[in-house]
Amino acid sequence: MKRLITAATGLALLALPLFLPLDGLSAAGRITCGLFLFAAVYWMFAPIPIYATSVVVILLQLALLSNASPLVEFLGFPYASVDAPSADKFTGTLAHPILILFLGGFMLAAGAQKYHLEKNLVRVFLSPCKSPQLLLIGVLGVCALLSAFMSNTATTAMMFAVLIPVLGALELDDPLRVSLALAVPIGANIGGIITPIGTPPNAVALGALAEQGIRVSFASWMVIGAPLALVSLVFVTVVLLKMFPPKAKTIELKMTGRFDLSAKAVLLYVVAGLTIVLWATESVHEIPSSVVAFLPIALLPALGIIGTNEIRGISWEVLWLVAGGISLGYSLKDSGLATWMISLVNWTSLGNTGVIFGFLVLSVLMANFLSHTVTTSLLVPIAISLGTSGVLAGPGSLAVIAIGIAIASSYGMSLPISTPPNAIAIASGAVDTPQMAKVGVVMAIFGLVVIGGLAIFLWPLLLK
Amino acid sequence: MSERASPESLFTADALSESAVEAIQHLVAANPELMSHLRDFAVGARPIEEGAPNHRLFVILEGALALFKNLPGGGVIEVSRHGRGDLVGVHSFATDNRSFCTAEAVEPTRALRLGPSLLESLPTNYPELHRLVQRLIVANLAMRYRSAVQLQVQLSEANRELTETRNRLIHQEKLAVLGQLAAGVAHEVNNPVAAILRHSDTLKELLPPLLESAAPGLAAEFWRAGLDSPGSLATQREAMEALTAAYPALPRAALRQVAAIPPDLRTKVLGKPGATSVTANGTALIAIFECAFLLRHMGTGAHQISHLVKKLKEYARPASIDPEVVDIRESIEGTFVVLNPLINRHQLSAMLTPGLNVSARATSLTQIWTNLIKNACEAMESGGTLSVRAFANNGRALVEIQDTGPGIPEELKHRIFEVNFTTKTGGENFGLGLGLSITRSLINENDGVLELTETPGGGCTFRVSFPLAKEPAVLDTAD
Amino acid sequence: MKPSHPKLAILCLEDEPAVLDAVVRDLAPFEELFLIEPVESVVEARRVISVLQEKGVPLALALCDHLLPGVSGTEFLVELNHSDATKATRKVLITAQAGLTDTIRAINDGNLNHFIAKPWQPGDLQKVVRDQLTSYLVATETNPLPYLALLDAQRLLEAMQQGNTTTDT
Repeated sequence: MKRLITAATGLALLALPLFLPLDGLSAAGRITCGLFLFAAVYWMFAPIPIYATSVVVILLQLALLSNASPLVEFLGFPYASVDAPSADKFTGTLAHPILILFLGGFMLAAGAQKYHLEKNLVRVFLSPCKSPQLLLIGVLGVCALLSAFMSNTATTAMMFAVLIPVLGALELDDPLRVSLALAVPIGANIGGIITPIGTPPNAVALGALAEQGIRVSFASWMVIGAPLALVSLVFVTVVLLKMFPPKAKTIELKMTGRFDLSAKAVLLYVVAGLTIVLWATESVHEIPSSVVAFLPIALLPALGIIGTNEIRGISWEVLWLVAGGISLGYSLKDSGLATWMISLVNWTSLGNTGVIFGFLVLSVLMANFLSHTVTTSLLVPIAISLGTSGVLAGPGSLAVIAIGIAIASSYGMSLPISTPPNAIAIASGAVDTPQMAKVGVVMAIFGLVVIGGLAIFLWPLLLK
Repeated sequence: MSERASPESLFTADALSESAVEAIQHLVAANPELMSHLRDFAVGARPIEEGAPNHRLFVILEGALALFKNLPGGGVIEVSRHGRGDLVGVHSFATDNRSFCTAEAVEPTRALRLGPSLLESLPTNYPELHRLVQRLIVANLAMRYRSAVQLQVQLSEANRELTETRNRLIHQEKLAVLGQLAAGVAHEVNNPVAAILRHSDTLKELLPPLLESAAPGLAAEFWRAGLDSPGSLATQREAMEALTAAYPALPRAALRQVAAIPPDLRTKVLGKPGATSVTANGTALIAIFECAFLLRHMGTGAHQISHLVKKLKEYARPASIDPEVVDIRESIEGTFVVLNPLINRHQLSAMLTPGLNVSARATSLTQIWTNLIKNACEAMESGGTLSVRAFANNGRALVEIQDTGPGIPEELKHRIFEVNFTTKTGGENFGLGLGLSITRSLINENDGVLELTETPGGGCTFRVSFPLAKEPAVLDTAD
Repeated sequence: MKPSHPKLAILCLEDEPAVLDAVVRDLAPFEELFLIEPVESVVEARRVISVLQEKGVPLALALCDHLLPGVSGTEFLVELNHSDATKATRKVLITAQAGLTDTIRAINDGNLNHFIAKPWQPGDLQKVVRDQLTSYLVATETNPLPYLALLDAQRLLEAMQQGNTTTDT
């Protein structure tokens, strides 16, 4: 029932702007506004899966706003002239370079999973941890490291499977259970900001920037993300140990296994290493990271390291989710909606800092309740428009705000619904929602402060 | 009898030897030298000793000689007896071996003793005698052959009876052991079971006052309700559906417990529909109900064990020696209880007239029903129908055991009573059955009759009938 | 994280009321997340299963005795195995008596997943049920999160990681 209502509302909002007296907004702009409202409602309340909303958005763009649209062809509506964007632009989002970059990352992750690389890394990192404190640090660290390259959710599921025996061995009232159960999703979420491929919101931001002709290299992102992640992890460790001081004195974590050294596994390590090195040295050799991404995309199947099973297991729906976000951004700009929206608000009173900070706050806030990717998909296009319309000043301000929004969204982790890793943590029974919320709020505030500060003072210099 | 026997009689050994003996007697009488070769033996005289060399052939003219053999384990048996016209000593004489047997006269006997020299001179001096002796030898050999064949037949018969007896003894041995085991187990089980029953009765007295304090006023009602039989599963399922609809906020496990409680008592536990928790007393009342419910189950279970053990003891008791007056119906029903696991997978249709008394060994009857019922069950696929009918007819008690299996093919009908005949190729065997041959023996021993009768509609019916026992002497019974 | 109503069912087939009661009692911990359906005969079981199908509740596990009036438990499991709707159902025999032939049939034709001999040790039944339900969830790729606390979390999470059901958003 609820689904029907939200679905109907979304559709209603799709048509609404056409009938409202919105001065100065072109027909295309109205349609785009409706589309944006529709996407917002459908993404937020998910009457249909959010990745489905993304491709529906693209469909609607093709049907209403592209040069293939019958409306444009025959009615000259909403574009009176031949300015309608090409349909290929919208369909092409499915193969956007940023998505290719992510696909490369997915392929590497699939290969790693097949040869149990991630489990072996966990074993190497965690086996020496004999004390609760060390274990906590180890868990945070390895989750962050893995989720920088792998899916956050898969990292969380795997990590919990590893920790179940440890949690089971602890006494039921040992706060270490809570801190361990929180360390996993927090580590996974924070790890997502380390690399561009760490989490889908990053792709939305990068895609929107690419549309503006701004390319952020793999290494540049890491320069921004990695130190921030490190500092955050240290902070989280302190917070968790303080809020949930462990009762147990020693930890037994038994993991068996060996690094797979079969021919195919070794090839995987080689390809992965090569890819990461090439990504990190992008500024040196100038090969775009999305091009480098084709190395694993091509070599892994070619060398038989992964096969159709793994290819079919790739989260294609995440790519589509991102594609929709990127595509929506196109229309915001093309149709002039962005400009019109900007004109509604008196931005100058806020100042640069205010604008940036405001968006960061919005991002963190929304990300606590919505999918991070959706948050980013809704906020980044608007923020970019601010930049392009001159509201935001300063060098690299576009990049700063887009990346800032993406990174800030990863700090929305107070509730089970914030991210799937959080849901897994709650389902494990080792932590309850109030505890998660407490830590989440602290992280959110910390994130806002630190990101805000960095965004305003440091990043503009880094992103020139 | 003339010297020339008739053509047919020439080919029977008896006639042949009779005529020969007569002829020999005439010859001897006519030839005095031959008379010196006649010998007379008194009873007990031994012309041939076992193990001694023997060079003489004896033709018996009157009387009888018996052949005795020493047995390896000690003792002596009589192997054969020879009379007028028989030859003795043929074997040892002809083969030059020591004598196989001892020949002893069991009647006053006159025989013609033929030594080697006499025999050698026979063809020349007494050709007629020679011819007669030859004839006798042939007759003798024929007779020995015939008796050898007869011995074979007798031996085979004896073996068959032996096997049957041996089987029956083994089986009875098995049953005796089983009986001992069953008695021992029954005894050991009875003690704990009695304890369970006693203690649960004690609990039934101790608990109610205690429980009263947990839920004053209502405890007694709920306790009584718990001790009553629960409703059927279908009513409980309906109750469960109604309750989950009316109280969606309550945990299903609790609702399931409440579903077993009688409807009029439920509101005391649950409160109004839509309640988010059970009433203040609710948890305690449910627990009280459960206590009674579980005690009842325990009691029922213990009684079941007790009953089963009793029946098992009756079934497996040592073999009765003497016949007694047995009620057929009780005997069969006792067997049903013990064979329940076997009968269970089929439909049972039992029509047993009470009061059919027969005079028989009780344990034999049990064995008889067991075997027939077991055969019937094993002949059917799961879900067949086993019919057992017991009724009186013409002064006899008839028991018919019928199955809906494939029946017995015409050509096998006569063979099923043979020892060791079976069509079973393995699979589960409760090890309690007997062959049909032994069953029939048991029935016959108890004055009964076993028949295989026609079964309309396929399947097999065995009919056992026993004479009805006369009532214990009550003089005013008219015939 | 509780689903609003039980989405999966467990069928208990046993003709001896006292034993059926004991089984249902042992299944109490699963009552919140699974629909427990006790039945006393195969005929009843078939009816309950068609009601479940109408309601759209898949049958995750069938616990059956073998020796039943009418159709045997083994034959019923074979039936379940040949029907598309219940092919994935985990099948367990709880019985005191099933000969070798019947057991072979249950395994080969009925795809029997587990055999519990009566009487069972306390806790044994729950362990087997937990294990079988976990296997069902893994095999049908059902979202395991609501069941993590009740079933084998480690196996569910590992399957979650290896499988295709997780999504980053």
